[in-house]
Amino acid sequence: MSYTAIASQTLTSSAASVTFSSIPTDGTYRDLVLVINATVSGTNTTPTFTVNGNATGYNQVWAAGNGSTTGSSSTSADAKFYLSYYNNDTTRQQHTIHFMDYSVTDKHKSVLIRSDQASTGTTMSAGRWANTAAITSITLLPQSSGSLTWSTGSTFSLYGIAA
Amino acid sequence: MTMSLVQTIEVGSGGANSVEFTSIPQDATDLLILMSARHQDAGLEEGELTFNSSASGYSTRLLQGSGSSVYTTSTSSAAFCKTTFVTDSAATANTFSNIAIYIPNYTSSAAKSISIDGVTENNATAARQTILAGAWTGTAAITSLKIAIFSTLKYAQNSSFSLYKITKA
Repeated sequence: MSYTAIASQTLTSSAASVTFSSIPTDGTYRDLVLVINATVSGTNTTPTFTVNGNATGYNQVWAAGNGSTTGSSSTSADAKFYLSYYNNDTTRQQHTIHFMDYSVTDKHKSVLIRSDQASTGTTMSAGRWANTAAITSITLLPQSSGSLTWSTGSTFSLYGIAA
Repeated sequence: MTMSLVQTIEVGSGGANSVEFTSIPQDATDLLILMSARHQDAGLEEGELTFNSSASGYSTRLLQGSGSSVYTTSTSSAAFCKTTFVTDSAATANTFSNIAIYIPNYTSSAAKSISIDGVTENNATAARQTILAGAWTGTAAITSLKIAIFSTLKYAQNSSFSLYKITKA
């Protein structure tokens, strides 16, 4: 598996959201990998993301551990994907989102997500966006709802894996 | 090229207690280490990852499944970042654990985060799959990294460690 860099964003000021748009769908890449290394402005957050500005059809299952207890849960027909099972704090967090077959139009879109924050826990999850549209944009929020922001210095790097 | 191999270290006959990548190029964004490792003694042990010869400031939090149970634990302010378990000599012959270590923004002046996924290999019902969140409080750019195995144990011959650098757009 070899990555090809598509786009990246390094925040020079805080931001309420980060969006990658105009993602190529000409078949050059089969999969996408989005690597996030970030801090947020407040505690008790679970970062989220949506695709194509769409707020329906997100299904997800998680397994996670926080050093004391393990957890597992699922959602269906939700308005977004969630990166972490646990609420995060303001220390550095790291997420990797793998979008498989993101540009094809004959299947729902599958994602595999790893989320880590050494102070709060580690999470793995699998998700399905119940939509056959090609993914052309991804929007990341630092929390499900509220006024928190991604902090200065946070990085978001999008890579493609060739077909 | 976005992703390129920096170096591969393969353990020779006699084994090795550790492998170390030095003079890591500072011209990329992230590091990826892929391990195919087995150690010479009986009993599962974890690798011990350190940066720049630093023996302080490492924290971890992990989730592990064994095939029959699930487990979570954590460390803080430790002398190393543990990797996931390394296959031991009691496992099926010629099987090696597979471990991937991802370190974003390794040249930054901020504290470092670490993401590790690993699985031991064994032709039996007992194996361990682990995901791990790690952190290092060090703010220096990572110029070297060492992955040791516990105490005086040794990685077995043919264990391999490959370091890749990944450059963002």
